[in-house]
Amino acid sequence: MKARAIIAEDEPLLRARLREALAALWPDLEIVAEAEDGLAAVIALNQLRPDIAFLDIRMPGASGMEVARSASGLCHVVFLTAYDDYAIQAFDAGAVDYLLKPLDLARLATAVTRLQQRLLQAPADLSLLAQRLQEPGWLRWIHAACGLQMRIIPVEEIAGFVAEAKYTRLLGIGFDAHIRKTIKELAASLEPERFCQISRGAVVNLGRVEKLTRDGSGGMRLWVEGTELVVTQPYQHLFKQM
Amino acid sequence: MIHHPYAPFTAAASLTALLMALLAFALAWCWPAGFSADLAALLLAYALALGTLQLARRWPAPAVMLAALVAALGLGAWVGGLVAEYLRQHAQLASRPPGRNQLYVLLALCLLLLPGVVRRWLSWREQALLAAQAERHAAERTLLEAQLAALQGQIEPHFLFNTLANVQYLLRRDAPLADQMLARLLAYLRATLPEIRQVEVRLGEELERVRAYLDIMQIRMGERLTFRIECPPELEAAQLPPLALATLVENALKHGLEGKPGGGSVTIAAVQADAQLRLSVADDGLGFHETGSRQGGVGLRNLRQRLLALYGAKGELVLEAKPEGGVLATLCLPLVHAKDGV
Repeated sequence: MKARAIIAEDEPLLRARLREALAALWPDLEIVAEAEDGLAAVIALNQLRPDIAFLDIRMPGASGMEVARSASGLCHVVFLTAYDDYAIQAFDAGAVDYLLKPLDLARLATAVTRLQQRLLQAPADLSLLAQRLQEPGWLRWIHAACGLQMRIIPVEEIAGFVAEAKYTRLLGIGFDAHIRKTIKELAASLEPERFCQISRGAVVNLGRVEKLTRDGSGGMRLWVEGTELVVTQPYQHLFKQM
Repeated sequence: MIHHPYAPFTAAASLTALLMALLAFALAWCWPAGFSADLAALLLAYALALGTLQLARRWPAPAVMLAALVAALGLGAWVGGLVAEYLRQHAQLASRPPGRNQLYVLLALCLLLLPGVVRRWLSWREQALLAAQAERHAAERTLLEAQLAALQGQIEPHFLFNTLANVQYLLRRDAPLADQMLARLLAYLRATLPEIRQVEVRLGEELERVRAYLDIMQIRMGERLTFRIECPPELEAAQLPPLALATLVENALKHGLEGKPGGGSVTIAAVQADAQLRLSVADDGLGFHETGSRQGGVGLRNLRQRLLALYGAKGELVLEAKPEGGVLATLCLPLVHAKDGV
């Protein structure tokens, strides 16, 4: 039986290069589909059920890693990457192999041999890889309304967030800007090493806190970029060591 | 050359003065006269003053120095006055009015110490200049480090390896296109590598690099990428920090267009607004994901740091999400034209 494979790679020339190299090294391999983005790759995988998928890691639509998750247990996966980013991780998680671009023909030949041996076994379960991919992605950029503009602000430039009526106001960026996210949503999606909720209505950037004061009656206040904020009782324990 | 803060007031100088004072005292004792009495008094006062200043050398602070100078003058004048009076009595001369001896000694002492104090002051100023220079060098180094970091973030391994992979394929299939792509890559690298040592480059040069980059990406992405560059010729000599525009363009592709199925377009425009140079990079891509990996945005953060270091409040980078999708990045700088032949 002839083995069937798909190639998912967004750059047309690199796709052609791999196709031609495979044709030379493994004439019996049938390339049943070529996808130029991740979504097309997922569709091809489900419709054509190939034995092997060559997946570029960086692709539009869905990354090679995400495509591999949907291919988990269905086909053998070989990753393509221009740079060693997640390739070794992917290899550990059960991918048959990974190939670095520009392609080295000797290296591709080894991968082909490895694939030919593996074809007799069941494809590896790549769901672990998928889990690793879903590491929490903390909020990095804030889209904030500033007049009629929608500004994009790196989160570390923001000194704090304060609830204000229906909106949340940003502190310490040099101009007035609001977002629609609530403090509760923000507190859950901001990197906890950098940001800290201090009351139901405020989150502060710890690196921008100017001072912390206590009064005799158990009250606690923070100064952030000249704005005074109250640390309410449930959050005070976070600052006990300061 | 850095002088010691108390360079003129050395132990040798005060010992010599003391020796001379003792000789003058002996002379005045053997040859009693008003002239010899005053000379001995003055030399003794001078030796005492130098000694006082020399004691203060251990605490080289301006306030201590000033206090030591006042103490040296006071002590010298007082003791010198007493000695002069004593020697005048020994020579059987008439007493001067009270305080007159001290006044004479003080005036002479001021004249004697003047050169040393002036030298001291000059060396102090030189040191202050050196310190200011060192501070400036430190600031320059910080800027250079930021630029180096910008470079490291700029030539992305992904870009380099993927481009070379394309060249590898084209070499056999379409040698002229491979040649063209390699030429563009070389132009890009050549334009990128030396720039980092400069604080500012011409907009024309920066646009050349951006064009080389976009040409390469166009070959790689095929029909998925279109771009347009609008820059009036008179702005080509305008100065900007190296890689400033390149960072924005590469971000537009990385965050906006490369990940967008079907691709898109990027428009780069340079305009003059009053005394400002306004550069904009607009794309119709995916925009910034609000969440993402830590690696994202290093180039932009670095660019902000450099703008702050170079222009303070006069430089500004605004990222804006366009209502119809995509990102508009606007960079405003003071408009400065590079001199011809630079």
